[in-house]
Amino acid sequence: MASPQQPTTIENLPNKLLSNILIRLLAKQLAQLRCISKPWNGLLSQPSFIKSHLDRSVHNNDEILMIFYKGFSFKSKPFSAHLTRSPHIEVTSFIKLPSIPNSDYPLCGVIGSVNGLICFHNFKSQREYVIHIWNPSLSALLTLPPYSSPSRYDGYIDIIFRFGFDPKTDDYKVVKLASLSSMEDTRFCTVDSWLPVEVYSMRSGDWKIIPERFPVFVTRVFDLDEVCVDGHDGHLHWLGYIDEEMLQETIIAFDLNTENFTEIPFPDCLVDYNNLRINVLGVLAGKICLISYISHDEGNIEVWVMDEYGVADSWVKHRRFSRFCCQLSPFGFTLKNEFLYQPHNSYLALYDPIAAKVKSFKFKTKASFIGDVKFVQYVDSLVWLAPSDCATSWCNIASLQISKEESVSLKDE
Amino acid sequence: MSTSSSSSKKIVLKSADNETFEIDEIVALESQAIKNMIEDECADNVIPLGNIDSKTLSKIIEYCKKHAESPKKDDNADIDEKAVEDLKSFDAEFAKVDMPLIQDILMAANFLNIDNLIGLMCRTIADRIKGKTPEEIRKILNINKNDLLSPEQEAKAREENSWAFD
Repeated sequence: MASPQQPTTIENLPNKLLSNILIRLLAKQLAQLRCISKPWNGLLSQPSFIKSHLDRSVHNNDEILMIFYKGFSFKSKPFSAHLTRSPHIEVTSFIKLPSIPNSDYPLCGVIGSVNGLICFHNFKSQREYVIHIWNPSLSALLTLPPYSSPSRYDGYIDIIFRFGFDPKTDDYKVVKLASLSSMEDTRFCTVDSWLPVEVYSMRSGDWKIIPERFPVFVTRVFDLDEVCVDGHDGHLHWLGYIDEEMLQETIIAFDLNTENFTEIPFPDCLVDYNNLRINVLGVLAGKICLISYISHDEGNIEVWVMDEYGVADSWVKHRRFSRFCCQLSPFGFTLKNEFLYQPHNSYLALYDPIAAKVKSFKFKTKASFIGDVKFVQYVDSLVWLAPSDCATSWCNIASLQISKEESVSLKDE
Repeated sequence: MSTSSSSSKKIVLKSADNETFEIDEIVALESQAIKNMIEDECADNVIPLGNIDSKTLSKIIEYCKKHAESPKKDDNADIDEKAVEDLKSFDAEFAKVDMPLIQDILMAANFLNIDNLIGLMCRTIADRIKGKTPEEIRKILNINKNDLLSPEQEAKAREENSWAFD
């Protein structure tokens, strides 16, 4: 501290203060600053610092919404980015696009996004995908090893991927569900059988087939989560059917830590055997919710929230938007609990239920099918797990070669 | 809320180099640490601050005086914007000092527990290193050579974060 003999230097600062300074910088610069000194390297690699930096980014972000369509390509303009305050921004002004190895297959689709990481695939062939995890703020890209490909099956295979975060092990996982159907267009038919489930762990760096099978009573699942809010706290969720007629809905949950499936009971009053009701599964303030409406019912929307996770009796009607606007497509609630939707023939909009205000994007999505579009909220994030083969500790640094010039220039400073 | 009222209670602070500063209690209350001492009635005479020199302490008192005079945000919902702007420009001017003094103020503000001042100093340091290379930052902050990574460790840190350097 300040005594005449020993002036204050940045090294004397308690970690709490150093963290208070560095948390204000962008992730990309912080990654560079790991090489500044030992204390900085230690602090900037601490999970608690990375988490605090992330929380700050989520709360202070510029509300940049990135819109990815199914089949986008990084070679041409891959996505558009929008702010609620100005209509359009140039994406390359704040991030560098990845160059995908194996770019013979340029068509991509976003799987999901958690904590600033975006998981996407490119199509290698009709039913074969290469999966990547991308941190746009760090311009880091990880291409996953191939999953086990089915050799031959009688029927048409349908694969669904999901991306999520397990806070218990601080790991990011990709879950692959595969099913067989008798019809080629698997979107509209029930599943004949579920194939073994495979899970990729970013920490271990490989895929493995898990012992637990997908629940056999499920006849079909929908791969939605267009606003990418699922998978943030250790669970993934799918909306599915349990009957051949595809009338009776259910929710299937996957625990990313224990790698088990459970069924979450559906609220009774949202079961509709006339098939007029449309239910969208979402997350509101960290709780799973259902956004439910009857098509052609002039904008009357109910939001049901499961107050206590997994407990059937805890479904409560959270709110009702009556005559909210004309016909609309509800996409879901964002991480800031704003309702993202697009009225028929109008602009994409965000509704803030607390301030009761609508922010319009001056932009219309071109999605013609449900599931054609993914909305990713850009979050500046230091989150990255190096693949296990290079995630070595300080003990084997001796094996690293360093050029003479570089070591000299370092000492000169 | 006058600072020069002779009737208001005074607090005396003593710096590491034995200089004493007599200030109004209201000014001293900007420091949560001193506030606690006053509440616990352990601040009857002189408060010795053996780890803060007079140069740093006088800057801190300057800051506390200004902030004690200004209307607090939670006092009144519609405080005039001019006062807010005035305080903002005071803070900006206040932070225009060299890096060693900023770091001294930050350490002292941390010891005295003055939240706003900690925030202001951290923000100032962050603004000065924003966008700078590791080499430039080592100079700006005068990073101790003993704390540097070994060349091998540095090469490894660069290698592991290589995507951040292009």
